[in-house]
Amino acid sequence: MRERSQPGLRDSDRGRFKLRERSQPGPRDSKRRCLLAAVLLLACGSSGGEPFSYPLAAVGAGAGPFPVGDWQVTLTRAEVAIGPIYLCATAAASPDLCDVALGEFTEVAVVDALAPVAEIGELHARPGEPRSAMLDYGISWFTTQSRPEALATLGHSARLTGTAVRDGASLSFDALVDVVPPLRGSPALVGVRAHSEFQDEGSRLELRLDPRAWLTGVDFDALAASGLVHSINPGDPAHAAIAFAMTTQPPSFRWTHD
Amino acid sequence: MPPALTPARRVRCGAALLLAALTARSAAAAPAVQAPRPVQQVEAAYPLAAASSSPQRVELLVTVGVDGGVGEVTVASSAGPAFDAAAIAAVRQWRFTPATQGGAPVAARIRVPFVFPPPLAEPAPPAPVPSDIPASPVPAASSPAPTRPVPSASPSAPVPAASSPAPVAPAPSDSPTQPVPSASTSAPVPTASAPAPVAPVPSDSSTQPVPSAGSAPSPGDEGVIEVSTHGRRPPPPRAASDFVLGPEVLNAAPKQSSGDMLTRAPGVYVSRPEGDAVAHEIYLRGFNAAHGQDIEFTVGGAPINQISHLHGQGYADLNFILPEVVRSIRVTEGVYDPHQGDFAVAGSIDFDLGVAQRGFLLRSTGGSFGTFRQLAMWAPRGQSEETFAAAAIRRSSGFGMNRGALSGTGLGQFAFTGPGGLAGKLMVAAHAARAGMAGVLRNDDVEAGRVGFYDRYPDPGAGAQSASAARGQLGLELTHRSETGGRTLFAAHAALVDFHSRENFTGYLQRSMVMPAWVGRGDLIEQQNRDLGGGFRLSHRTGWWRPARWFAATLELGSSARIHRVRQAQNLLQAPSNETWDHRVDAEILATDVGLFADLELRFGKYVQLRGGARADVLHYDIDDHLGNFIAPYQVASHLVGYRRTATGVAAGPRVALEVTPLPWLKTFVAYGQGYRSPQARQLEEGERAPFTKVHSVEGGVRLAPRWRRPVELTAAGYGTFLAQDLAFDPEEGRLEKIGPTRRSGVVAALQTRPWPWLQVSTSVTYVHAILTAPPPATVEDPNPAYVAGQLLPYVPPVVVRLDLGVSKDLVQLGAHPLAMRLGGGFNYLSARPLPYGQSSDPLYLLDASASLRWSWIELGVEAYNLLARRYAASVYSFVSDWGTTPVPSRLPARHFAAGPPLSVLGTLTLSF
Repeated sequence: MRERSQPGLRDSDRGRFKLRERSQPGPRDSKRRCLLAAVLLLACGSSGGEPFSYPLAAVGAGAGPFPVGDWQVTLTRAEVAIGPIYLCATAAASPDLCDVALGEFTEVAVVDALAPVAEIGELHARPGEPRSAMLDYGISWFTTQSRPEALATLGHSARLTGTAVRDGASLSFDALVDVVPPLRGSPALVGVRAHSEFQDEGSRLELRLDPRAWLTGVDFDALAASGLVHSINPGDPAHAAIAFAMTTQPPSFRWTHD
Repeated sequence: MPPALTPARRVRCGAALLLAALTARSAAAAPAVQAPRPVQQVEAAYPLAAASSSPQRVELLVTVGVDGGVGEVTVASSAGPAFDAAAIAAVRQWRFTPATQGGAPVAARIRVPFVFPPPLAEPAPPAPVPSDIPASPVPAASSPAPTRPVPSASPSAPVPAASSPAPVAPAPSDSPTQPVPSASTSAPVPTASAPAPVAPVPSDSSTQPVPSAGSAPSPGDEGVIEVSTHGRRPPPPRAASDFVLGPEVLNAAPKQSSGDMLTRAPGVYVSRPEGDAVAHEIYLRGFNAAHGQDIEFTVGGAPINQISHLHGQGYADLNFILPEVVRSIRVTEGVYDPHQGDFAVAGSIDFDLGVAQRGFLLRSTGGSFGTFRQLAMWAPRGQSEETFAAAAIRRSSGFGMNRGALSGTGLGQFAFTGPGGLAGKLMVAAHAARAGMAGVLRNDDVEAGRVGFYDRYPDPGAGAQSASAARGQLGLELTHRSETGGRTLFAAHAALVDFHSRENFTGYLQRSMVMPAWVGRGDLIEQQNRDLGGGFRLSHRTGWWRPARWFAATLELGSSARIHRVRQAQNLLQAPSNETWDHRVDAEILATDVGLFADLELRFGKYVQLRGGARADVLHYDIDDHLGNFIAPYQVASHLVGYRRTATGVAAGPRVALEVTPLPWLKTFVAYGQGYRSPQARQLEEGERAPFTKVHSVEGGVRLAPRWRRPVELTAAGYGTFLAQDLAFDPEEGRLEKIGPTRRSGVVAALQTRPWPWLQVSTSVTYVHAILTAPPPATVEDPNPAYVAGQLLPYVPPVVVRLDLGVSKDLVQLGAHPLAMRLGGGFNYLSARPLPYGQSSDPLYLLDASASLRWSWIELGVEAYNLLARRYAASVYSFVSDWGTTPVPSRLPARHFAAGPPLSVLGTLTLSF
């Protein structure tokens, strides 16, 4: 019952053709053009393209230090649970406007957001032009679930650990962040901008995570007033600030193509 | 040219004339003798084992007793033992009103000629027929007629001394889907005016030998009345791809339902992915006709397709047709006949009902998966083939989880004749069925072992899937033939058809429209469609007008009407309690279709025939859409739900077919026509001119029937169809939705032959290139739709191959009866079917086979379906679903399938007496 390959023009082929129009033709391009012409000849009556996969990776922003108000913050640990991810053809992805996705990563991966590059896995896709995405940070509320559940081994959406320094004073923090979908059947993040003119087997998608930006809303002064070691948990103002930032400053999507 | 009279014959003729004169004188003195009148007539079956390439004529002398029964039968003119036996077997089932003399019944001897045309005969030349009667084209090879006697009112028949039956014109088609004239047309023309000589026998001595001219009388024998038989005759083909499947093809391979029999037609594939209580899914020559949206189905001319059916436009449930009573099937591929009405987009299919083997028949079938079927059938001897009563029950545990089924069917037909050329038939049918459904499975779930191939999902929403159907149907058809060859038809029909299904295709994706916060309660779609409707057909075909020797014309004018009241609802249910959690459809529809047509047939000499005309249908809808203008809950304070509207429109178009016969064994056809499919009423707006789906159909082809020793017929045709609006299955709603215009072009080749008397071979190959020309454009909501322009039409297999083999042979003589063997096989091949979202199915090939032994009144058989034990998909889809089989649901379209039955073996015991 394997999927069968089928000759014919796919949406991805059209996308690739557009790209090549902008480049200088070379011997390899000529060969590809002939191949494309042959495909076009066969394309009369094509039924479209077959599904395919391509790699998905996370790109971190580094540990710092970086400023947050008067504080210089350095992250020593930044684990982020990410997934599932759905790529959508509509400009603003939502469950209603993305009942059929163009691509998906139906797992939850815990990535080190401090690493320059961390391979996440394979993204399954079909030909088309992704324009937006929707995703969860490891906590999902599917239609069949009575309440949201954390799917990642992390048990939370993110764990951010680090220190904040100001005028010789050092504050250490350990934040366990939960970003919970607000509605049953809806991912936590919808309408995330994610655009590529095409995608195919040669594509690669990198999610740029910036945990430093998620800490910008944290009031370290208020934290320092109550002690120098802090565990930030759901219900804390600092948790709300981080969770809010994780939704307003989602990962950025960047495609590369062979 | 009659042989010259020898002296001896002259003497005998003189004696006969003298005897006739004497008889005439005595008759003048005695009360006049009224000839017997046949009231029921059974056609003779063509003895295929003795098939001949030339017409065979048998003349019988039959004694009609005072009770109207058939007494002594002798062969006056033989065509060989097989043909003689076939004629005798048929005539022994005839019944008459006895001859009378002075009002008292008397026994009489009559002459009955039977003519067996060659199985593959060319049209009869028009010249020798009476001036007002056109030539009667002998049925083509694909017709069932070769096994039937054709009208013997042939001028070549010796005219007996007694009555000369009124010749009967070829039975014009009263419906394009009714290839066979009604019982009345096969009834002999009563010889009411038949004068003497009748050889009366004293009424008190019916067993007394009847005076006759001798044991081997010759034409003109005294005391003999000739009574003509008028065999069934299909209407002339409208195109090369106008096939009539006779019993020799229909019964070659095993079949479990009448729908299965359709696979014998070129380009047709039939599956049953939704169980025993839902209509078959049918593909015809590049059309995924689903449950009937593109094919006009009729039974004896009465329409079966349901207007605006919720499950699928044109829904046609054929399950009430018992396969044992199907005498022939006409499959007209294309729209070239003005008789073809609504839903004749890919073509039309008509079932002709009749039972050749008279008497009682009991058939018990049992085998794999707890399947048991009991059939009881009664075909009264001495009555027309079209008179029968049959009933069957069937139960099965099914070949996997949640597939059990139980059904019952009763079907009866009574054919009768009246005075003055009036004839008719009355049909009644009732059917009820309920079946579980396993539904569809995701391929990836089966491959990962999360669910078995023949299982269902272990989910309440999957376990609650089922369907039920009920039907009651009544039909009456009256025909009248005038002495000038005209034919008038009136037919009326009424039916109550109920459909109820619960199906879940997508698992847990739906959100309630009524209460948008409700989600994840299961996508168990409940559909109910209750249709009460009726209608009539009325037509008159003139006799032939022959202003010149080389030209003849006939015209038929007709009308048909249907009016249906449809109540339909669609909801979402939450299993297992089946609690309603959303309303999707709640409507009442009154649909009316009034059609008019004219059909002209012109014959230019022996070689050219032009048939055609036009048809126009006025369709009117009154829709009470209880959920129309549905509004969000926050608007309830200012709005009310509900939208009532009406729409009316006209669908009209020409149909024309040209047939040229340059050689006796070669026919060429060119045909063009416009057909239509009525719209889904709920999709109409107020005052809309009913946007009919229009189809343009064109075909050119040849039919070759070489006059070889063994019958061979080869058909080849190229065709094209252009459809204004196609439909495809939408699993989210569980029904058909618009996908835009489509174009099909292809070729079909079919061969039918009998290389040896004991072997019947029928095979066909159909290729189609079917594409979507302008699917619904991308929108903001759906910028990447499932269909793109130029893509292959989803679900349609480009290549369909069918092969049927039938072996019938007497093995050995055991006592008074031979031990007869029958073997049959049917092979199907379907190439990979394109699916939405660029996917495709696997190719499919299936083999069915059967074997049986019959001796006298008992027959033992075995049938095997899917003999190659293929694990195959009866139906394949591509869509998004969430059955909870993975931690995270996928939103990518995935291949789904409904499993086809595995290897099934059934044993059959048939008792006939």
